[in-house]
Amino acid sequence: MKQARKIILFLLSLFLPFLFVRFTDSVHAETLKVWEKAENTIFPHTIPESTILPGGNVMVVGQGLEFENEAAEIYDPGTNSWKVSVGISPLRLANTVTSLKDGRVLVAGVGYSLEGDELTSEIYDPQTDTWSDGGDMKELRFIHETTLLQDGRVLVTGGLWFDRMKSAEIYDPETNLWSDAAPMSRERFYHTSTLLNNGKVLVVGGQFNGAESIKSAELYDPQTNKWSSGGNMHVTRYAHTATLLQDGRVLVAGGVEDDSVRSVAEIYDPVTGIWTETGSMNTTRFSHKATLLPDGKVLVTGGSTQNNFSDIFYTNTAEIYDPATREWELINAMNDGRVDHAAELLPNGDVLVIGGFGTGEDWLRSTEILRSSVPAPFLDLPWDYEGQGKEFADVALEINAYFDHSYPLFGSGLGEPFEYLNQITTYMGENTIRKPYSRHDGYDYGSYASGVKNGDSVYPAAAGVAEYVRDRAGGHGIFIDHGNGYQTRYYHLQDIGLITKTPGVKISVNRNTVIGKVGSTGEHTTGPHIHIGVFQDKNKDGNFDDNVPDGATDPFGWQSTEPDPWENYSFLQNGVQKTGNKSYYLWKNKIPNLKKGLSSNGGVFHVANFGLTFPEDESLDGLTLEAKLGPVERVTNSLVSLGPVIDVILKDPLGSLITILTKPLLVTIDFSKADLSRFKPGTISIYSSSDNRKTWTKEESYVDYLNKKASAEMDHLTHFALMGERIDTQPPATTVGLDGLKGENNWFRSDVEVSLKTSDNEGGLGVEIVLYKIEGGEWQEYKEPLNFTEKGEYKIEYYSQDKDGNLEDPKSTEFHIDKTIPEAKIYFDRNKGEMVIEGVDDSGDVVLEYKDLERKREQIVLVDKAGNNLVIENREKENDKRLKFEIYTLTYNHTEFLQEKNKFEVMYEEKKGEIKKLDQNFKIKDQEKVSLKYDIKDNKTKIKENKEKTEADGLKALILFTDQGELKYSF
Amino acid sequence: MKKVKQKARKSNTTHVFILIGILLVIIVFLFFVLQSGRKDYSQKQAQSEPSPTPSLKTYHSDFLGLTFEYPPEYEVEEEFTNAVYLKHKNGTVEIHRLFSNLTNIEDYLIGYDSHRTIEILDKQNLKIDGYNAVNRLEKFSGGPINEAKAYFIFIQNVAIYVFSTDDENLYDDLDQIARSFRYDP
Repeated sequence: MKQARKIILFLLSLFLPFLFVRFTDSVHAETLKVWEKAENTIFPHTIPESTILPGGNVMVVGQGLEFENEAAEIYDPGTNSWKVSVGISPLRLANTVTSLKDGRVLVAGVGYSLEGDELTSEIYDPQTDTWSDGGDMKELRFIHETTLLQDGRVLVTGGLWFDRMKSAEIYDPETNLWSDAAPMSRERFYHTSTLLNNGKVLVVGGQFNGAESIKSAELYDPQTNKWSSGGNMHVTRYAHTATLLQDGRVLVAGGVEDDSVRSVAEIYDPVTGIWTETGSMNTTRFSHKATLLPDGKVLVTGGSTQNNFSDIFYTNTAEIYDPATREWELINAMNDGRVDHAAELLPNGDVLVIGGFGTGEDWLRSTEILRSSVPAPFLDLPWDYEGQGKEFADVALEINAYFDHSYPLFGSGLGEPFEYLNQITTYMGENTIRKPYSRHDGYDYGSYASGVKNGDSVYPAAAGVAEYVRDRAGGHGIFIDHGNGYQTRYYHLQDIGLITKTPGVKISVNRNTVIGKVGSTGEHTTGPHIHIGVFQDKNKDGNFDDNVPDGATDPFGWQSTEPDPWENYSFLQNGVQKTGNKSYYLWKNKIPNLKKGLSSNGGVFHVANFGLTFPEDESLDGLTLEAKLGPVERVTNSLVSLGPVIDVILKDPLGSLITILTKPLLVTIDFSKADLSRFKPGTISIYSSSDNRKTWTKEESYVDYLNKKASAEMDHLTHFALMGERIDTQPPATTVGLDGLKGENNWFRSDVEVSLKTSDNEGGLGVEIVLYKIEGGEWQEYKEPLNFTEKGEYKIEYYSQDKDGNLEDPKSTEFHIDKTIPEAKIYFDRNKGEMVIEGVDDSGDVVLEYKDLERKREQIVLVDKAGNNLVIENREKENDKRLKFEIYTLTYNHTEFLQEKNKFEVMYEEKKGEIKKLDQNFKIKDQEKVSLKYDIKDNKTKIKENKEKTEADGLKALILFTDQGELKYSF
Repeated sequence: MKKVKQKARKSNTTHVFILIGILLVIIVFLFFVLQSGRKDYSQKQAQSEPSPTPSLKTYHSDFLGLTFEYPPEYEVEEEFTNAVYLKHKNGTVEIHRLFSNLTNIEDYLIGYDSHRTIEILDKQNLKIDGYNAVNRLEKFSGGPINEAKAYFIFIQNVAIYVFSTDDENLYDDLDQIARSFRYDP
C-alpha cells in the first residue's frame, strides 16, 4: 500500500495539471433520473392543471368524470397522499390554475356549478381551505393562458369559446375584479404565455384556424397595457411549451406545425428580440409539459407524438434540455404515457407529474415523481480495510455510533423533540436507546473489529476537493466536496498528518490520498475513531454549511418500509423553515441481505453459494424477495447442475409475482466446493428456467475458473443453476460369480460363494458403490464375497453406482443349494415283472445311470440336480421268475458304505399276466429279515418279520431302500 | 465443695468465650462465603451450566458471535444492525453489539453516557463468561424510556455486548439471559 501511494504521488507531481482536470471531471458522479410511482389522485381529472401551494403541497384542478365535487385535489409530498378540495365548481375544463402572490390560487375559465350556474373564476384560500367566487371574467373562455404579473395581477389571454379569441383581461386579487386588457394582435389558443424578467409577457404561437398554427410571438407590457411584436419563431407551432430559463431567455419546444408534430426547439432572447434555433428534442411531441429544474435544465415529459385525432399517441418518454450544451438527453421514461397532464416542480427539486390522458386510453389517476437527486453510489469507507484483507461487507457494519434518523441535529446544535431524546432511529428503522447516539449526524468507526485504530491513515470516501476545519466538538476535521452536491466530513483527526491545516486552502484528493490520522481530538470523544458525515447541498448554492443539518444524509440510505422520520422532519433554524433530507445508499459496495425488500437502491443477497445483485431501479421499490434452494437438476443424462438450484421469487406489495426486470439482475455462483473433475472443460455455464424447471436456457456467463465463480446478467426470473456436461454418463457394469460344487442350472451341492465384480466404462470416473440385496432383506453395500451354506433357494439382486452418480440397472441371480444325496428305492414291479430302482430326493428329479461292472455286477448312479450322487454297486440275477438283487456298496458323493452280504429275492407265479403267487424276502448274511408270501387264493400276504408272523390283505410289496448308507425295508 | 464450685464457674466462663468465639468464626465464615458467592455468581452460573437448562432455549449467532439462553416464551427477531430483539408479550429484551477502541468498560461507559441524559440508579460490576461486565439500573430524562436495566459485557478488542430492557417485569429474565451470555464466534 505505501509503495503504491508513493508511485501515485510521484505520478501526480508529474501530471498534476492534467490529472486535476481529469479528477475534477471524474468526481461528478452520475446523477440518476428515477421515476417513482406516487399515490394516485382520488379521481381522474380532465386536462388537469396544477400549482404549488405555500408549504409545498400541490393543487391540481380539472373536472372529474362524475361532474361532482372532484374537480380539485391537493397532494402532500410529505405523506404521499391526496385529498379532495371540496367547494370548487365541478365543471372546470381546460381552466388555468395560478398561484397568487398572497398564496391564494386563482382558477380561471369556464365553469359550471352543480346547480348549473355559470362561473368563470374561483379563488382557493389554502389557509382556510375554502373556495370563493373569483369574480366574473369579461369573457367565457377555455384553452386560454394565464400569467401572474410582477405586480400581483393576473393576465389572461386568448382561448376559445365558440370561436378563437384574441382578447385579454386582467384579474386584480386586491379588488377581486376583472378588467379588459388590450387584445392581442390575433386570435390564439393552444399558445403559451411567459412572464419575462423585464416584467413583460411573451405570448408565443398557438392555433389560429382549423389546423393552422402560428409562427409569431408578441409582447404585452402591463405598464402600458400595450402589445408589441415578439418576432417570429422559425416554425409555426401550437400546443408547444415555453420555459423561462435561468438566464432570462425563453425555450420553446415541440408542438404542432400545421399537421406535423415537431421536435424542434428554439430560444427567444428578450434582450435582442431574436429567435435562435437550438437542439431538437429526441421525440416529437405536443401537449407535453416542460418544467424548469433547479439546476437550470428543462425537463420535458410526455405529450402526444402524432397529430391524429382518431388516435392519440401518448408517450411516456422524458428528456432534459441543457442550456449550456444546447442538447437534449433522454432520461428514464415515465411509468405511464400521458398527454395533457400536469407537472410541478416540488420544493425539494423533484418533479411531480399528474394524470393526463394516457396508458389505458383514459384520463389517468396515476402520479409519478422524478427524483432528480438520486445519486449513483460513490462512497467507500475512509480507511484501508482491503489492505487488511477485509471486505466492505465485513467492516461496514462494525459501527461505533450510528446516524440518527430522529434526528441528526448534532452538528447544528439544535435540540430534538423531548420524545426523541436518548433514542436513535437507525437506517433500518430500528428505534432503540441502546445504540450510540442520539442526534448523531454521521457514522463513527474505531475498533479492532473494523480495523480502525489510533494513528491509522484516513482516506477520502471519494475523490474531491478537501479543506481543513477545526471544530470544538469534532477537533481536527477535513471536509471534502465531491462535486456532485455531496460533501463528506471527517472529524477527530490527529494534529499530525493532516493533508492541510490551513483554513481556506483547498486541495484535490482521491481515494489514495491520506487526509489525516485516526485520533480523538475534539471534546467528549469516546476513544480514537473516525467520524464520517455526509451532507448534501440541498439548495445547490455551493455552500454546505447552510445545509447543516438539513443536508445531513445517511450513506446507508433508508432501508425501512416505514417513512423516514428525518426526510419528513420540519424544523425552524434561524427563523427559516427547513426539512430534513432524503437518504440514499451511497456506498459503492453492497452489503448482502441488507433487508428483505428491494428499493430503488437495488439490493444484494447471498443464499448459500448464490449471490443476487439487483440494480438501482425505481421499479424495484417495495418488492420483497424470497430465495430458496432446490434439488440438483438433471436436464439430460449429460447436462446436470453443479449443486442445488436457486428459486428467486419477487413479489410486489400486492403479492403479485414479478418475473421480468427492467434492468438485469446479476447472478453469481461460487462453485469452489464443486467437483469439477466430473465435467467436461468449458461446458460450465449458468442456466435459467422461467417455466418452473421444465426447460432450461443457457445464459451468457462469465466463468472464472481461477476464483471458482460464475456470473451472468439476466432480466428474468425464477430459477438459476450452474450446470455443466458430465464426462461420465455411463453406469458401471457388475457381473456375478457363483463358486461351489455345481450341478446343473445353478444347483449346488456345496456351500456357495457369491462374488460381485464391477467395472466402470472406459473414461469413467470409477465405481462408487456396489449394493446387493438377498431376497427379503435390505440393500447392503457389497464389500466382500458372500457365503451361503444352508440348503435352499436363493435370489441375489445387485447394482452399482459410479462416482458421478450413474446407476446401473439392478440385476439378479438365483441359485439352489442342495447338499442332500438322493437315496434309492428298490422293489419288484409285478406289472413289469422286474426289479425297479427309483431315486428319492427332495429336490425332485433324480437321474439314474447304469453301468455294467466286472463279475456281473453293475453300477447304478443316482444324480440329483445339484450333482449329489448315490452310486449303488449291485448284482442282479433274473432266472425264470426268480429275481435276486444284491447290493455291495453304497457310495454317497464319493463316500462309500460297504454293505454286509444281502439279498433281495423275489419269486412269483403268474397266469395270464396275473400274479398268482409272490414271494419276497430280504436277507442279510443269509439271515432272513423279512419275507412276504402272497397267494391269490386267499388274497392275503403272509408276513414274517424277525420270526414274527402276521397277515395282511391283498398283495403287499416289499420295498428296499437306502438310508444314509444303510439298507432298510418297508412294505 | 467450694473449690469445685469455683472451678465450675471458671470453666463456665471459658465455655462461653469459646462459644462466642466459635459463633464469631461462623459468622465471619458465612459472611465471606456469601460475598464470594455473589461475586462469583455469574461465573458459577456460566461454569456450572455446561448444558442448557431444559426449560430454556438457546440462541446462537455467528454474525454477532454470541450464545445465550432465554425463556421459551420469547420470540427472537434478528436485525442486520448488530442487534437481536427478544419479544415478549410484556416487552422486549434487546441485545446489541457495539464497538470501540477503548480498552476498559469504565471509559466506554463514560463516553456512552456523555451523549445521554441519564442517571445511574444502581450499578454492579461483575464477570460474565469471564469478561468484565456492568449491570446497572438507568433513569432517563427525556425520550421514550423512563427507566431501564442493562448489562454491558466488555470484550476487549472484540465488542461490547449490551443486554437491556425497559420493562420492569422482564428484569429477572434479563438477569438470566445476560448472565447466560457466552462469547461464541
